[in-house]
Amino acid sequence: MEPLLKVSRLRVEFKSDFGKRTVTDDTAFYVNEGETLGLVGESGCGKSVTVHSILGLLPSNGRIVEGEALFDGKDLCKLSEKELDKVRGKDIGMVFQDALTALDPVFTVESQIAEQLRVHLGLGRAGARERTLKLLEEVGIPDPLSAMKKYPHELSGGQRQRVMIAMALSCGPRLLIADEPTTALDVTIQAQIMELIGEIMKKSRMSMILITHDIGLIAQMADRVAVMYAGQIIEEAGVHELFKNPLHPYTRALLQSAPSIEDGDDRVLKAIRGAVPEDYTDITGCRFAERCECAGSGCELRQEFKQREEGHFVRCHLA
Amino acid sequence: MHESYLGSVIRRFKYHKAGVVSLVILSLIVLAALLAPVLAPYDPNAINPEFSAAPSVKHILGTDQIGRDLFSRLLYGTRVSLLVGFLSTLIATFIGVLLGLIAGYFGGAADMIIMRCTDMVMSFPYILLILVAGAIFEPGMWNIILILGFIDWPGIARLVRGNVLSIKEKDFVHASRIGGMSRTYILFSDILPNTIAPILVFATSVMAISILDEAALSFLGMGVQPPAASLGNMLNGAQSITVLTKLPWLWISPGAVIVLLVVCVNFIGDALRDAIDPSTTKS
Repeated sequence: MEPLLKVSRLRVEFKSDFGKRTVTDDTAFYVNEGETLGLVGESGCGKSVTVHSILGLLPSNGRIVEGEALFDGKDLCKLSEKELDKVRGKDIGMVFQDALTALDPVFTVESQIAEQLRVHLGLGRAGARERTLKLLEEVGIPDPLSAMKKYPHELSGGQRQRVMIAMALSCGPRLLIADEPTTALDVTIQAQIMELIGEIMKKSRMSMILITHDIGLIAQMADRVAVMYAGQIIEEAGVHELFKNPLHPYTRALLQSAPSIEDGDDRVLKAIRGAVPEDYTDITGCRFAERCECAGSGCELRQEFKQREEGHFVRCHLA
Repeated sequence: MHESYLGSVIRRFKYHKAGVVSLVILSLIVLAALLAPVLAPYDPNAINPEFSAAPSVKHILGTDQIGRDLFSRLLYGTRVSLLVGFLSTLIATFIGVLLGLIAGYFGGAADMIIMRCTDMVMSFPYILLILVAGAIFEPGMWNIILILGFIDWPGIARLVRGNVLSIKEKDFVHASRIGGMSRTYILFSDILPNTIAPILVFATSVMAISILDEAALSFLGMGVQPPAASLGNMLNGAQSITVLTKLPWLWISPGAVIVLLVVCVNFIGDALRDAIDPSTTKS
């Protein structure tokens, strides 16, 4: 079966006053129908840039230099703005980190959702209104009739997130991109929102790319996981396989640095020393080498993304 | 009970006492100007036997040096000043908003060209520019409106451009793009509404300035031409020291109306700024 979204050899460059900078490099992943792909990594490693680039949302100084992103057979990187508009919103929906900034402050909830329904589904005023009401009910907003008439700032954080989910789902997308959907929320609301997304996923056979740096969330939601580091995907595997048998030293370190409920009082979380290199354009070898505990000879060479076990890819010559 | 947007704007506007008082006064002035033909006791250009008469029962604000009733002229003059202020602000706002939106949203060469043009217009000595324009085109009310309209836009263009630059990087604009909305839709339905409040506030100050500019131009004889009355050319007589010292009723009333207009417009702008923004939560 062809995957719903297949990204290959994606390379994104940003131009700045100091010259060109490669932000993501040789990025390849796929999402099957009905599947959730978790995209994890530290801040600044290129997770958001990757999805923004395939949606045509790069800022004006960024551009895709090479690679393709096949969505349902169409290469998103080659579509014109107009053709992209037909895919975005209708077939692909996105949930942002902070709903307060992702909702337009001067329009009511109803007018924001209804506008998309009118544009993509060609619904009339009454039809759009009815569907908006249904959507808000579906995402569990109490008293949707009055919530519809409210402005984003009049809603609570959790409700805003629900509204944004309703908006992303409004036209029945086949792929949902959730960019750190719960980072701005407190834990209880976080759990509720993820439960809601999980339910919707089950009901609609939608696919999802879940971007997060919360390992726990990945374990709970994802089917497959891609770990990103410094603009490259360094390991990709099924979620059980990855947690049981992490091959890349970075993935291992990442897992060791996450707390678990089963931890005893004496467990000391292990931090990864150093930080993501700021400019990794010129590093030819392994980009994690300078922070890696296993680094040795061979790490200075270009690392290929290779399959080590069935469905388990890794970018490390030691694995 | 959830209140409508308009309801909340009115509620917040009421909170601003000076704004409310200004609105009442401005409404009265506008009403009086509109009803000038009904309210004016005399034809504003008709010459009466009393020259330079002090205020009396017959002429409540007195008459000017050639015997025209000042109260009637004041009503008609206010009409002209308001019209000039309003229309030139409309023109300036329209040009400024359009250019600002284009410059901010599309950036690049368009931004460069538009912003250099605004810099150019802004770097001319303002009053001189108006005077030269007034001299090239024949002085008169409609030309004044056009001249002011075409000179007052750079401030608005800059304001709008700056707002667009910050708004277009906001997540809700990204959300709209992911929602598959076209660029024109985003420009006019996402970005423009989010910058309406500062535009309106700025427009009120442009209106106040236009009223003052009309007065200044007419005072200098380059504006509305006699015999038609405007608040500015009514002040024109005050250029002479005798009028200034001996016939104060000639300039006090038009001067007072100008001050009143400008103060009211500015206060209303102030109140609007607080009232329009749906996220100000002052109650």
